[in-house]
Amino acid sequence: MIPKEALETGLKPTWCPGCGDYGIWLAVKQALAQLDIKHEDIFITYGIGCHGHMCNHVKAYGLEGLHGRPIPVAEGVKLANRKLKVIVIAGDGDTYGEGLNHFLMGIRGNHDITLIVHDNQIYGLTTGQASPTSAKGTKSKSTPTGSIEVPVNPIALAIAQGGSFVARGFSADPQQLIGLIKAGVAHKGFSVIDVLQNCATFNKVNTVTWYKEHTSRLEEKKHDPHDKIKAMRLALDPNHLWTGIIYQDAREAYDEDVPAERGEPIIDHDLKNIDISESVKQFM
Amino acid sequence: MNTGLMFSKACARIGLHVFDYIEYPSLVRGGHNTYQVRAEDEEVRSQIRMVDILIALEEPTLTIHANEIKDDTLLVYDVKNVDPGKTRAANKRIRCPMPLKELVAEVGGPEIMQNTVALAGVLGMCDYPFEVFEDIIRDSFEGKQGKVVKENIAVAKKGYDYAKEHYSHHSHYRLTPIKGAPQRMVLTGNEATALGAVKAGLKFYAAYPMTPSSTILHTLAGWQERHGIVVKQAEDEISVINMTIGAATAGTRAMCGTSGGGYALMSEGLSLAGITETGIVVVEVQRGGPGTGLPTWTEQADLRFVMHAGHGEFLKIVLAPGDVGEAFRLTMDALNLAERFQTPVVIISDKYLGESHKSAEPFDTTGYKVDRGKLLRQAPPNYLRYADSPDGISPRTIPGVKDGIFLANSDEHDDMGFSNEEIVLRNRMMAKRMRKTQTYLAELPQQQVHGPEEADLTIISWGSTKGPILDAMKWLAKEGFQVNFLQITHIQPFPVEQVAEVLSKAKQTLLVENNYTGQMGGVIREATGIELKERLLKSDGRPFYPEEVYDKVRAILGGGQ
Repeated sequence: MIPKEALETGLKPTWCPGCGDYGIWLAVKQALAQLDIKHEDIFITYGIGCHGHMCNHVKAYGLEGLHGRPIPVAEGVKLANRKLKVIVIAGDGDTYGEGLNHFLMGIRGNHDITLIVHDNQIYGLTTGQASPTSAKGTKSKSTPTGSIEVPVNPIALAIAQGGSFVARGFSADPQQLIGLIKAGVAHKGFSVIDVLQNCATFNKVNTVTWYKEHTSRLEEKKHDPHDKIKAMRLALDPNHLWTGIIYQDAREAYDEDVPAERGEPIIDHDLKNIDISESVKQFM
Repeated sequence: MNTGLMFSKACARIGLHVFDYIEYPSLVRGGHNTYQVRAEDEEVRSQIRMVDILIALEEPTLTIHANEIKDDTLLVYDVKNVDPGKTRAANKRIRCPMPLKELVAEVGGPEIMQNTVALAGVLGMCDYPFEVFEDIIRDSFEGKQGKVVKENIAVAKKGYDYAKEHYSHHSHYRLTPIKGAPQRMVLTGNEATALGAVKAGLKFYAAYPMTPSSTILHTLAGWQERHGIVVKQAEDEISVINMTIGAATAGTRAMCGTSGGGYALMSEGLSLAGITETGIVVVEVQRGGPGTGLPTWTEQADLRFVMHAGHGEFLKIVLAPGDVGEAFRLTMDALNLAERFQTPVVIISDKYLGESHKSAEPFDTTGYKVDRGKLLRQAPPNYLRYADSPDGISPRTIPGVKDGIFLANSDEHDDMGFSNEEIVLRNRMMAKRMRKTQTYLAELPQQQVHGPEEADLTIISWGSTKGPILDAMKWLAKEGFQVNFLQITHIQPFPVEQVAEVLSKAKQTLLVENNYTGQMGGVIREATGIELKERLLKSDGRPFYPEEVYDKVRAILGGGQ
């Protein structure tokens, strides 16, 4: 267990008052503190967006990378050192826009990382443009007459692509979110946690009240997360945004099938006196 | 192993020096493919224009290559499939038709075996020891059923005996073992890069398939169990470089490889590694551009791009090997430099170096030490990842080290890694990172000058042109010409003083580059103010032939002494 104060950096967050990022930040720290892991074995990658500023407010090994790219960085970290618990903090633009390819491929590979997406249906840090999850017709600075595309459905995409852990949380429901993050980190494989959150400044439609009206907790419904067809129905439900673990199954994580990962983590290999004579022979 | 490589290995096994050059279109099957092998009892580093023995499996070969056929070239071809009389080689005399199909049919093998029959025929007419060729067949079909090996040996024997009986008297070439010759490898620049990386402790390699860099991926993928390397084919080159950065941050020696188009996608990642101070190695095996360009042909047109890609200012080290030995050595060096200077290092190569085989004795690795720089496996008290230091390099921990926590941050950051945009801090961090350039320059090795110290002409070039230039210089030296060659291997940061000194002494200069605009000439002018007026440039996708370098030098220096 990590003492909660050990995760503090002493820096004060700069998010707007009322931002959903606060709820997710608190839930991440709570979940980490409650998990049975060593502080130094956590590695967090962050994308770029308001959410990415969390890198300054969680004391843990981390890399705040480029917009859209926190997933491949996390995969590289995990492949180098399987002992680490690797978490990705990303935004909806990061994950479903700039980095959608990495999202789908990460799910395909079932890399053992936990992806926590800040999904507020708007680009906040760039002062309010439509995001990949904005509803069709969303009026924003970049779409003054209403957005033309339909939104990405990350839950349905993740299930369809073979996701082994697909969940949705809500920034104003920290108790559920803490549970989801803990379950996601414990799950061996690629854990998708799409977290609905409000943007207090640039999204006047999808407010906390709006989310409360449109979300329903799966805990109050008898749902078997191992039933893929039912999970897909929930993902496509036009009337409710279901929160909780929507789908989960067990399959090998990527690193479990990598030939070089059968022994100790590759970071512990001895690099001195490597014998290449067998490999030289094949050129003779 | 294809038939051409079998011939290269056959020559190397008996002690000859070998260089081969492959041309193929961007197709999976068909098109016009050539495999040219040059073998001599002295070192060879390039292909030459005129061919001694030509195996033509199809008739058009004799027309397409008519200008490379001499009066005494031995033409080997299938008696039914090819009629030299119908080609531009109609007037050539020495014909060695072989009943390839029939010989294969006698053994009952598949049609593809005609290649082996023709090759064995050439070996037969040159008195090559057949039992050595048998070994090569066994090696090349390793892992296949005994029946396949037996069939191939049988069919080779047919071709060998047929040609020995009918054409031995035609051939003035003898492929007989050289006593006391050392055992040599036959390998490409890409394979040498892979081998050097493994020796230097590479543990992570990522790539997206892209000709002509893919054989690095294939070679390392084949070795991942033996050498304990994670080899990852990622979804795109963006992911490739980000994974590599992740793996390096976590504490492995990590490398990725691509060609020009993939390198374009890696640009933002290079910049990320610049600010997070992550040591990674990128191999860029150039092909003809722009765009998809000439996917299977060679060019050196990415020099400026490789040097300058990545937004913002940071140290990016660029190394340019000129042959397989340098590909091996500079890859080992690159992995040390990346970790020591905590910054991206790019190895710039090309199709010609990457895919041509050369014979070489097993590379000497004495004196090489894995140097991981300021890597800490235990954190000192009050550890700060980006603490200022006189040489610009800060000690780094890796995840898992207690009390060594850091944030690698693509935003400008403070000593811990936390975002910070204040003026004083920004200036200090920029100065710290850029100071690494001075630290690197202080230890920059001397660039090689090949040939005599005093010369009437100094050739300036970089990368794979080394082979044809050195081969041309050998011919020129025999005729009494005093020519030397400044080979720039350490391209960025640029060795200004070294280059300026050599050039200021040069009586005449000749810039040789496999590109349209003479990019290195521009770099030299920018750095030294010296303009290299005489130029030998080409951008037709083909490498230089030593004849072209020879002719150009003769044109400048005149009739000789």
